[in-house]
Amino acid sequence: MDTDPVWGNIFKNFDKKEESEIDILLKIPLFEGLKKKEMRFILKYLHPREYKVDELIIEENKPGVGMYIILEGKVQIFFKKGNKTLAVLGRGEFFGEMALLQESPRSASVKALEQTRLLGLFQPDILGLIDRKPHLGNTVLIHLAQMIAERLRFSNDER
Amino acid sequence: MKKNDDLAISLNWKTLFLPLFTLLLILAGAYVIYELRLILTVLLISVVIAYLLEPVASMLESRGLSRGLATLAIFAGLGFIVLLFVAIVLPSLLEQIKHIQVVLSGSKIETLIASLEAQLQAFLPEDLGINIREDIGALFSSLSSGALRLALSFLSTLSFLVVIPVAVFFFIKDGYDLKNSFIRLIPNRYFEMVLTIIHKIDVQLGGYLRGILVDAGVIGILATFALWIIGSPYFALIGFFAGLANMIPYVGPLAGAILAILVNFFVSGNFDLTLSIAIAFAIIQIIDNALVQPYVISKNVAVHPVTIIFAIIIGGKVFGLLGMFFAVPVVSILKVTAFELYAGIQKYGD
Repeated sequence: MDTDPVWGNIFKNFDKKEESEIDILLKIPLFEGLKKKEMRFILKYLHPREYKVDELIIEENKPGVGMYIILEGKVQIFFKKGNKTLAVLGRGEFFGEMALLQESPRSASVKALEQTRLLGLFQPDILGLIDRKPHLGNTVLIHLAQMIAERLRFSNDER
Repeated sequence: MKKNDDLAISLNWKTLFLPLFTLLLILAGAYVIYELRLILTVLLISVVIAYLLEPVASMLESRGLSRGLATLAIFAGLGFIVLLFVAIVLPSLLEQIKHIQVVLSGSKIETLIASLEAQLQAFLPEDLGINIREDIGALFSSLSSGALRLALSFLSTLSFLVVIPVAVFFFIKDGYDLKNSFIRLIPNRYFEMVLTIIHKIDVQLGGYLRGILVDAGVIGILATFALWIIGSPYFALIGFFAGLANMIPYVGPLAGAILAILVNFFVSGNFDLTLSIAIAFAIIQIIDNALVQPYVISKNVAVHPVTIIFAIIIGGKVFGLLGMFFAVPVVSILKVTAFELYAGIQKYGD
């Protein structure tokens, strides 16, 4: 059956955008191994945000409740004191995941180095996901615990 | 020097214009809200019903149903309950309302109130100027005719019957997407704060509101059943009232018992059933405090007794009988919202 030339094209582009977002998300350790259908469901819980060049995304010492995944653009993680850069992250990378488990002051600031598109995932969304799809929510939680355990091991090894 | 003058003029213009503009904006907003009050009420009722039913939809979804199917299942269940209510409870409730109106407007009631007045005046000093006949007569006739008018206007208003179920359906089905669409509109700087505040208000209020409604339902059923066993007239009407009144702390539980005692006196002309009614309501209160409330009310919102009294008076003045019942839950919503907003702004603000 032929698709409508107008609506078909609009939805084709819409699906393409969603598919590319899903491909990026599935490469992140938090969502590794999930099916596309499951990822599509989780996508409803993520908050798309757009930031201009030099716009502050996270401010040091301000409370935080979640993480951000970079879809497009670059961000700089830095300490305000002395403007010391800790890292520059790009497409497919993420930051702020510790706050997903506990609402705590952010340890560093993050700003957009170029026009940046992010997806935010926050503690209330994880709790909502566990309520509606417990299996899916728990899988994400286990992945989160593994990521944090990995980081702990890494920092222990560095000492 | 000229520069300073310019600055002074622009500052004055700003200090004058800004409050005026804000005031105009508030007035325009209030006017729009006033003009759209019916639609806003329908919208608000739909949002509250959908919000109260949301956990049921999530629970069904967690059992493997899609959101759409879960919403349909809830509507099927609700339809069944409404059907039962319309077929079994509503006819006897309306019958009892009509009957009580006839009784209250009859001459028998006059003699009964006169005898109650005489009995009370024997105990109380004369200069208190008791005129129960006029006071109670006016109160009861206004209450009963008001209740019937309210019930009929509820049933006859097409918008309530058609728009609310449709809106509730979509609010349950797409509630999460709607909330996220709203959050998308919040500027980057504030959106994490708004998200957190909404979540905290939801945690505080969700448990409380769902809890008091379930509690009111349980108390209503228990009171109806107890009054039916005792042999009290208008048991369904008084039970319904007792359930609703239970939402008001302190005075609510007492109001149900007092109404039952008074109605029994007006119908039978004696206080024979008073002790049985008092015992029944005392047992219901014990069951409520020991068994029902600890299980159904997960969060409690503490509201000061003086606030409760004023809330009930204002609720009654503005929205009538229903306003009195729902005054305390509304005050609790306002309290939690204001508290969490303040705490959030303190925490996230500069």
